[in-house]
Amino acid sequence: MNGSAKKRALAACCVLAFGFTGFSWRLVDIQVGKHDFYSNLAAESHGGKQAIYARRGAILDACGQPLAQNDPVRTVVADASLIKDRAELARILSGPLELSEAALVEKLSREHWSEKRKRNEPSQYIVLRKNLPEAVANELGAKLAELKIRAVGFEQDSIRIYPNREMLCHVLGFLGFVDGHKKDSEEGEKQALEGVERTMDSYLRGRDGVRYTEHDRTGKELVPYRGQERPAQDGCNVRLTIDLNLQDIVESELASAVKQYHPNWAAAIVMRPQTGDILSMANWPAFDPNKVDASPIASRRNRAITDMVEPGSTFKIVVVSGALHEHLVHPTTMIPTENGYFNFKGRLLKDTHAFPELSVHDILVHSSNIGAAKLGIQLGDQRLYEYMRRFGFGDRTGVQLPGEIVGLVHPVYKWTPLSISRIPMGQEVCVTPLQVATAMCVIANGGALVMPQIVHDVVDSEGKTVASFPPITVRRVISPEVAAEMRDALIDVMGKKGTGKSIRVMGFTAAGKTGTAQRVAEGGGGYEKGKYVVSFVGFVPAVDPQFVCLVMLDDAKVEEKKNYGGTVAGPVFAKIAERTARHLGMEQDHELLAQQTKAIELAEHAND
Amino acid sequence: MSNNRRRHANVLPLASLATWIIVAIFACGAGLYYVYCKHQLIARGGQIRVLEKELAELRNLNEAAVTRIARLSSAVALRDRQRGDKILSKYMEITQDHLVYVSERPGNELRTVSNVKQTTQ
Repeated sequence: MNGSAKKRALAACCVLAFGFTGFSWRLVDIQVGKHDFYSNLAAESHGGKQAIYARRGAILDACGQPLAQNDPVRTVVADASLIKDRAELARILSGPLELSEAALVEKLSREHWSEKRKRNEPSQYIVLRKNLPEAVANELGAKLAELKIRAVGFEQDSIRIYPNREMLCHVLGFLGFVDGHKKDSEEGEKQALEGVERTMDSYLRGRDGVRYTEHDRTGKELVPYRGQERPAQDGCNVRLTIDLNLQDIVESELASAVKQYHPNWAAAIVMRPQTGDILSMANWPAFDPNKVDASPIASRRNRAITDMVEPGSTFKIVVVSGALHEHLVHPTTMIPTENGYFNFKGRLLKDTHAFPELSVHDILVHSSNIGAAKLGIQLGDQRLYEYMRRFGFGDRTGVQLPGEIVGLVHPVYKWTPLSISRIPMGQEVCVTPLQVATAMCVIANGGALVMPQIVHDVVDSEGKTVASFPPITVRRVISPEVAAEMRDALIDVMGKKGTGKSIRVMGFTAAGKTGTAQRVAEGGGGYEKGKYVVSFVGFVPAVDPQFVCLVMLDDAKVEEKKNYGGTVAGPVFAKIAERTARHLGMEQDHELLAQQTKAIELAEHAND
Repeated sequence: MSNNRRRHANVLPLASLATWIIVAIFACGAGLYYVYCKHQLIARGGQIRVLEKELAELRNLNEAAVTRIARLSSAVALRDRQRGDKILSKYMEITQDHLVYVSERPGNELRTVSNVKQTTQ
């Protein structure tokens, strides 16, 4: 090899060496220096995050009957950039989506401004239809796959269904959008807004899962290259203490009462006094949680826990229990009742039925305001206040429902000189219907305040109990002996002499207390003339009670002299109690039934 | 050049060639098998995806059916159906005072528990 040939070979080697060095440097730069940049770019174009949606748990009644469930539906979306023939696609979709072809073409023609390309481009995410039934979506999906149309996709969604419609609506609550604009566009996630749906949301909601995926250039997932995966955790099922059949009984009786008396609102509660389990809770007006927007806001209130009223005479159980428990009086102790007129600090206090004196027992039986006031005076401000609080008034009961109010129990230093005579008869104090029912449970169960419970337990999708809610005794309020004395008096309330003499629970000895309170004027400032909140709260059977029942009606449209707890709410209580007793399989007392039947016959003869 | 030397110079290294051919065949076979396995993996992945989709659809259809049953068999829906049904609407409702409840008594003897109407009769 001569010298010039050597030089050319050397030059060629150098060029090759430089070339390979350049390529090698570039390779190292790409693989090492810009590793993150290119791996992110690859992940962006091929990788993706796929959400695995968790199912919301169901709400069941005590017997496992469904109260709230999910109906799986699909949201149909389109990517306009992949559409070849809009008119043809609109024609295919029009039937299954129940939309006109013109409307579909308009939707499919939507464009958005691309900052990158500085021009309008076809939208890649267009919602064509929400809540499409699963079966229809499957059929349409198969048809589109056959036609190799990739522009239309189906997203998993679900709607909450309440199969019993208005029944138990206030307890169940509903899901909805928090702010108005989302409601209009129907986008975003619905949230639990009311009822058990809200209080038990953390259990019901579950947790969405996620899966990191890779897909090919056609967008098809490459399953072997699936990355990390966190499976979805379906929501738990919540089992209530509510008995749906009993709820039906209570709601139908309440509806009959509403039809008859046309009140502003009405509420009824049935509870187990020993455990605090709420077997039924009904309110009127009601709403259909499947169509929440169609109902007025006022009808969505669970008045049994969100409305407070002056309780009237049902509150007398507090002062009488207190006086007996403090050994200030015995059931037979005579209290002067001033022939129905008692002047206390310049204000006249009246009784409907005038007596010169009454025993403590008969103060309850005749519902004497003067007798109750005198017992209150004897008990004293501080002790009366303490008993009110011990019976649970002025505190939330703790039931697993949202929006419960505490009521209104003024501390002693805010009392007027007249308060000690007014509070014992259920004035100057405001309570919720549930507080009254819970207070009656104290008498029924032998003196203990129990926390009302509406959720029995929470069970996961595999049937394992996640949470259970055993009965909670808050405190002992009165002794069992005093509770028994109170029970005897409350039995006689429904006897021949009592204010609830017309109330008969056929075949059962019942105990209860009537309540008639003047309706407090809107915005305060006295009472509304001729308007009353009437109530009846009692338990059946009187000995070893199986349930406590409260019925309350606000402003029943009935003539004034008949507008009493014993005449309006009492008969509703009797009907509910009778049907409830039968539903719970309680056996009638045949002797008592015969006596009651004879009494009814005699009364009918007397009327003839 | 003698014949012997030529024969020695042109001899084929068959053993070595065979070794390389076998190595090449194994390498090709392994390569093809790798491609086959990859293809199988992708194909099975596709099947898994289809099965997952079908399973999800079945679960959804089942849930939809359960919800539909609950909706149609709820007390309210049945009452509505009764009202709307030509034959059922002619049926008279059995009121509470016409119901006879059967309860268990001591001695496992079943007896009727009388109601108001029956007692008065």
